[in-house]
Amino acid sequence: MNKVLITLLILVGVGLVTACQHKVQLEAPDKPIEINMNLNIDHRVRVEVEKDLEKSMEKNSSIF
Amino acid sequence: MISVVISCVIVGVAATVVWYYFPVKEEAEKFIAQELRKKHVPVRTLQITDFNLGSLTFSDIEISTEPPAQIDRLHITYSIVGLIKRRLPDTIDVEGVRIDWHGGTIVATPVHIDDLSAAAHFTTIFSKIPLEGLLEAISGKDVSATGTMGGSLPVTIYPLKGDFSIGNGNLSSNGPGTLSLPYEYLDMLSRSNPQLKEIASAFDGYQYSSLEIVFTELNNQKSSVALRLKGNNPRVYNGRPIHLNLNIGGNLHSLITDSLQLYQLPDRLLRGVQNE
Repeated sequence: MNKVLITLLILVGVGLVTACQHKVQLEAPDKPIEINMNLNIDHRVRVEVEKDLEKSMEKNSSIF
Repeated sequence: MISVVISCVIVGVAATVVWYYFPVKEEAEKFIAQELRKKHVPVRTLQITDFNLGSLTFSDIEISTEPPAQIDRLHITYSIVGLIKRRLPDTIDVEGVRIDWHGGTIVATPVHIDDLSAAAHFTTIFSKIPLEGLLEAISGKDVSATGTMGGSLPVTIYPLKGDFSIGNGNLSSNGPGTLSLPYEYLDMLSRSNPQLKEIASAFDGYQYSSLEIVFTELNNQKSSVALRLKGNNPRVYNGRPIHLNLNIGGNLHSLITDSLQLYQLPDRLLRGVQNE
């Protein structure tokens, strides 16, 4: 009788432990991270400086 | 490449008067060289190999870009009517334009121009261009990258205007590689949105599976450029894939045009110093 009781208690205990277990899964999601960016280029200042230099060279061709 | 083809057109126009004013080949070469200097066309070597009634053929022309551009053959034909009425050549054929670039090559398909006031088309073909050199040339900053790129871009030039447009085309990676974007770009990315700070770090030692630069023609000869990156960085987000789509707009046409003009400036300065 005692043996049957002990066996039952062990089975119930194992059952309880199993029921309390969490499944923790550390996996990176499959979906990629998407980054969308828009850049607007404005180079006006540099060009104006270069054009000024060009004009100066044309006006003062004797510089060189 | 665009400036090289436009330079060939300028050679053709400059050579127009040669046909009946300079019957001696050496005199003709000297005259053309002088005309090109006046127009700031940076031709390093230029030789007339075929000097016939109504046509001129040049071969082995080297244009002093960096690296130098090689042109195998430039053939120009003239008719009496064309010379008298328009003072322009009738046809210009440019063949074998090639730039050897950091172990890769940039080649232009043959260009045939039979009306200088109309548009002429050719395709620029890129083969095994190192990504590192390409990104450094585009960004003007130090970039660390492995891998090569290939692809093609259709180009339309307007010979008499000296203008051009770039059509729809793309350059793509020949295989996977690694890439570290310049610090300034990473900083810009993280400053644009604080949440992107960690993601921005992914592009330092990024392992791309594919990389594509797409040119899209817009109206009014304006193009837009997009950089499309697919890959990951094992150090960031446990290696989760991170894709970047960077669209670059604005006045790109003006930017490229001015860049083409500017490369002539150092040559002018050099000549000035040499003449001093």
